[in-house]
Amino acid sequence: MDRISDAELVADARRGDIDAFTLLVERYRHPALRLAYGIAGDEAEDAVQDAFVKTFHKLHTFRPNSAFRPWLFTIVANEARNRRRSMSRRASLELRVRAQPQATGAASDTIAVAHEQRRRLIAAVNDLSDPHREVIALRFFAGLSESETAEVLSCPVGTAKSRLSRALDALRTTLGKEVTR
Amino acid sequence: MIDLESALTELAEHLDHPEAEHSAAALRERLVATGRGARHPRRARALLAAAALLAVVSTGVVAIAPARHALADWLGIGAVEIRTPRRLPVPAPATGRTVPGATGSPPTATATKRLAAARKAVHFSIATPHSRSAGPLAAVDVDRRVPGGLVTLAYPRFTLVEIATDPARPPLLGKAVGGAAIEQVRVDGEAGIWVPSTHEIAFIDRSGNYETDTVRRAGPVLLWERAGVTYRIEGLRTLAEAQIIARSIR
Repeated sequence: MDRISDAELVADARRGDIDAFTLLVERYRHPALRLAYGIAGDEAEDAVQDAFVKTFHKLHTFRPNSAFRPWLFTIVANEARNRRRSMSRRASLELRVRAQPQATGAASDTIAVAHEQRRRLIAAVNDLSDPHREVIALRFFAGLSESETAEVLSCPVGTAKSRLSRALDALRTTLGKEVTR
Repeated sequence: MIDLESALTELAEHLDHPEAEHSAAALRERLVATGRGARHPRRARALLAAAALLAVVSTGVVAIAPARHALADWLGIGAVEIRTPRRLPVPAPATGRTVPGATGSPPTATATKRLAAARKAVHFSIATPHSRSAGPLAAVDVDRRVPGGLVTLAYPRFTLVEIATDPARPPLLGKAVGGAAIEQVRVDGEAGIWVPSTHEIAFIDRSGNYETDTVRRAGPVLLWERAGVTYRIEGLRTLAEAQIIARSIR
């Protein structure tokens, strides 16, 4: 079956169909959670829940001919930023990678190396300024396109691109020879 | 040397953020609690009625032999039992006999006509999903050999099997899930079981053994029983999706 489009689900959700909205939530909760995690660390889950509730109640303000994804992620990013501002413990903003999976045999070395690379990369992301970390989260954690990233940041595409490019440069500087230039 | 942009994309899959497995259900409750929103899609019924229905009907005949068995750790719902053996039965090559939900049946009549005929052939009231995410009904198959009746409704993304449940009768269908996780869930207030991973399904013979030529591999399954009918949804990837379909069945 062809996937039901976002527009169709939004149209039903605007009429109060919670099931249609739940399908939209299913569709986007993982990238939304990753984006919120990139911005607000441990507050991600609460931020995403609140963002989805707000999204549902704001659906009447959504312009039917525009794209739902960047509109939703704008709300998620705003909610995550609010959480980040009000957080008292800076430590919980620190991003982590999941623990290394248990492995034995020939693959275990490869897995260990990949895990160590991720650990260094996330440490470098933690060192970024908030705006740089946010653009990385939008583009790579949530998987948004350049134009969607610009839309969420409410800036021209060129501005979003240059911010991304500076963020990547900062990461390359931290990681040094480990990454290609 | 790693490519930074690929590494960042890959990193997204390994972030240690909280796993929000039940967040969709919790969110739904919050939305319902705020009092805005209708429970069921309004356009779904019209969509189903208007949909062009493809003619696909199964000719597979299913041999049913009621089982006699005594398993101490019996786990099941209605007419379906679940077993957790160490070794899974091996799916047999395709024969004339198929377990409900198997695909590959040739088209012979329209699904709507078949549904009308099926309603007369079984001893319970056949319910259908009204969520628009179900898509159009593609095929209907009835097995009259099952006491009370068994109907299989095929939709584009899943199959729904409805089986008349007789509490005095042993289970008809067996599921062998091996080491796969089973989740006990509520489906519209009724007790249900969610088998998220691939498992084996077969009919059970008189001695309680699997009929090996009916074993086939089954996708994620949500099982529940309501008012003397066992419902089984197969093929939807997530519990949330299956729950949406399940709640809309009436």
